[in-house]
Amino acid sequence: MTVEQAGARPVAGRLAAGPTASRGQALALRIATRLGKAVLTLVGVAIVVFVVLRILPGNQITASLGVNAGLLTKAQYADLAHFYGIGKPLPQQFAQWAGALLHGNMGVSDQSGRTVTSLIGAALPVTLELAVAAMLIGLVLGVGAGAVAAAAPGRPADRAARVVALAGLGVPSFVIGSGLVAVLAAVFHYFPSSEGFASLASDPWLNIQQIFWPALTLGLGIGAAILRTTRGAMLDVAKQGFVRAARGRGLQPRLVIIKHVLRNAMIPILTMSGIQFGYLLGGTVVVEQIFVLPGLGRLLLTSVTGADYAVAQGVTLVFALGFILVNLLTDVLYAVVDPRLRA
Amino acid sequence: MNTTLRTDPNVTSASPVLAIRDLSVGLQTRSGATELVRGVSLDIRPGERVGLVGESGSGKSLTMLAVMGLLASPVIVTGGSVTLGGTELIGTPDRKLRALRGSEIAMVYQDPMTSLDPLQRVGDQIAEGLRAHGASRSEAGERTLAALAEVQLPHPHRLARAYPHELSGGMRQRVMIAAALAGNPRLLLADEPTTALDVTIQRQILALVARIQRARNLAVLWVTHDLGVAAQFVQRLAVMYAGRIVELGPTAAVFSAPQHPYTAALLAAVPSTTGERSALGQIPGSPPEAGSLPPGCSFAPRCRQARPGCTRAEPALEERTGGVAAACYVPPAEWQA
Amino acid sequence: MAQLAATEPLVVTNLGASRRSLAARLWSQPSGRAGLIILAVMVLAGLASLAGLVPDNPDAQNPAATLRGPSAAHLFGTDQYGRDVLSRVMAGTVLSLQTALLAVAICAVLGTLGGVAAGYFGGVISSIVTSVADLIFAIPSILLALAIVSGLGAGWQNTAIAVGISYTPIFIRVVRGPVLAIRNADYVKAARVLGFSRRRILLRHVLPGVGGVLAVQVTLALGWAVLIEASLDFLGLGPPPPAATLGLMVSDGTNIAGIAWWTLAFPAIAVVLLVLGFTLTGDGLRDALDPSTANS
Repeated sequence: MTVEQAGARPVAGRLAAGPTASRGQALALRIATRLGKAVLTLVGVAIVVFVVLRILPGNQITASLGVNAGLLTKAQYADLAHFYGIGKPLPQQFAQWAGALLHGNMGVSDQSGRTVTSLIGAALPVTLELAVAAMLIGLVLGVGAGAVAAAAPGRPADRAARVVALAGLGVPSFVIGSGLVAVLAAVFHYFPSSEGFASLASDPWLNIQQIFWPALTLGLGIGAAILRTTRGAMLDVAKQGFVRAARGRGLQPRLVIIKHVLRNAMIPILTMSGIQFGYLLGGTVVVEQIFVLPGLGRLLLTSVTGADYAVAQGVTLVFALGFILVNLLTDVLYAVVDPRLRA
Repeated sequence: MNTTLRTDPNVTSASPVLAIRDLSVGLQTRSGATELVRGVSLDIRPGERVGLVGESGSGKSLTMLAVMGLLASPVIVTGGSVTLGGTELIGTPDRKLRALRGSEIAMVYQDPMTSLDPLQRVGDQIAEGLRAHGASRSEAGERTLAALAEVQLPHPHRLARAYPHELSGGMRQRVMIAAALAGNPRLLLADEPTTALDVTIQRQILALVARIQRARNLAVLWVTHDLGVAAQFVQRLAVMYAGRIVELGPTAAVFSAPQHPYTAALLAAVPSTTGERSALGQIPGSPPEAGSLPPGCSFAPRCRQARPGCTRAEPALEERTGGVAAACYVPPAEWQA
Repeated sequence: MAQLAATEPLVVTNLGASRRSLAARLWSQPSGRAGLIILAVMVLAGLASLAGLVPDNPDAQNPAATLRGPSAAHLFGTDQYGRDVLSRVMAGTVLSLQTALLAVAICAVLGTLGGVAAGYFGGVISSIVTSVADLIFAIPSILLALAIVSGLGAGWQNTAIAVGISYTPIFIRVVRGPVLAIRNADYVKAARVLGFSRRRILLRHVLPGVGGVLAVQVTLALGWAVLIEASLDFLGLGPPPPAATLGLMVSDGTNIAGIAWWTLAFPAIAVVLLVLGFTLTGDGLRDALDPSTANS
């Protein structure tokens, strides 16, 4: 066989098996494993939270009665203990609570007397709106500024962007938030939180005003981190051979950046976004306090400091669930963006 | 559309497709520019296969990137001219060069894995180049499939929808070649495209490119550090050392009677499958660093034929016998063993 | 809350080789230099406060001089109780620094132990350690801090414990990577084949390789710890008044910022400087150790 004939023989590859079918299966398997892990983590979190809140010194009796707890008779104490479920072995308490949870019953709040579910139900939309708005602001600012910075490294726009990013990282959200409130009040005489919180349905314009400033506070910090990631990732990708090859085929620079550089940079950006979301959950506690928003963060703060364990557990579980769901989402998005992960 | 060689009035069989004159490329630092390519001159005629041979760091890849205008700052062209069929490329704004890239000159790179975007289907990557030059979506699609078929990839329809990681190294390189040829260029620049592949695949790719090149009368500049590949494939050979061409001529003539000691040493270093088993020939020392070239001839410190006069001035590339040009003061007749 | 990019991957291979030039390299980096200068100023201020070299007693109230603006007598002005803001800021700096140091000591030790165990021993141990890390990570750090602080009481040590535990997973993750890489390196395999004891391999081969990553992470963690600690103080979960914590000062200052901007501005700037100082130094350290990841 001559060299030319050898070259003419059909080249075998994995293509023979048909790529599309196996890609779908692999993706499904990937999601399933992630879901399994997520459930396990959630259970783990529930156990840890339960135990942590229980083993801390003091219990609900002392928390709600304070010093007067010492004045209870033994019988009264026993009654209260039974009511709160204290004294039974820990696993039994947990099973009781978990069982009720699976029926949708998270218990009753000591401080307000309402069911935990209703409290969370009222607070969740607020925090959700805040979180989504903050992530949106952070992504738009971060990716936008990061791309601009990466397009001309070393130039003024890049330097400015990096300084701003540093400020966003170094200035804590409680400082930004406090500063904003102070400036809005003192300079602009603007008090969006003076009226009660308006839901999106009842008064959209007021609602947006009330959400915007706290979302901006959180979004600046998120944006700063994403800016750095975007810039670094885009600069790294730009050095790759396929970017030069795309230019070599005659593509305009803008197309090269959008179709090749940015898309490949999406993976580290996605990672950082997931991490930032984790910090975001903690951030809502501070920001909701500063801007007086009736969200989950505020609920968590008041419940833990008031030893309202049922509420604290419930909110923590919701936070953990949210975090796990977002992680799941990022995993799925990875597979969507990167075909190598679907094989 | 670009013109083919037969109809372009600027290119006759005598005038070159690519004329590089005294090209210099340097690294721009705060203290000046370190020269990496120094005064390279080379012509490529239509339908000709020219090879550029040299060690890593000799400047061969930079020369090609300079032709394409793909040098990345701080590496810049510091002098010289490059004309493509009469059009000057150096100093032309990127906007105009873009029109030529892919349609008149195309390039194939060394590592097929990193030369393809891992997130996009290979067919799309070929088609986007065509559409950048004005092809409609359907036309680009058809030409992509045609190009994939031309490089003998099976099932072009299915293959166009594949992602790079699903293909073997040889297949990926064929895709790269297809991408380069799809725009119907008249000059193909190849930067060691077979180095990353194993030897059997290498031969297949070389045979494939040879066949296509002959069919289209394509001019090719093939960079390699492998003399064996050069021997199989190219008609004329330029040997580069420390940023300059030190020998240039028809492949057969250069191989049988090298007129520069460096070329001779390279050939002597190739193991022989016949004849006596002796130690592999070695060139003592290593190539000079770009910023610190020795005085006079840059090969002199390692040259067995070096004479006192060699360190005075860098020898110019001059025509010698047999159509071969060499940059050396010492004629082969006077070489010592 | 904290948005420090603390989990970017980093593998450093030769910390020991050029120890002397490391400091020089760090200084030559603009970010490293800025960070070190800022930190030097803050640490000096803190030390001065510890030594008692303050303009006024931070807790000394002076009803006659409340809410005075910055002046020669009170460079940063006075607060609503007539206390000198500069002295309080210096005292707050000390508190933040010592809390951060204790917190990072906790998470660095726990995290390194966990990361080395997971990376070196692999298998079941690795699964357990990483699962625990994921678990802690999934719990909002605020909750951990809230629970610990409200259960154990408010004091800077408890704040430090809370912060330290919540940052441990990041240390585990960051340390595990290089340990894994080193463990599979040829020279370690050679050591094992030669029969070196596990302890010797760990101490003489694995640990030095992790040093660079640890140094960067410790610095970044200090910045993060200051941030979280200040936030907790701000929420009222730290040492209660009349303690001079930067977070409390910001919280109080926000209410009266309209009439006394200095009570908000100076504590806020102090927090920012502390966090920036650590972040910049950490960045500079990372660039000095591995120039290929440098941002410029």
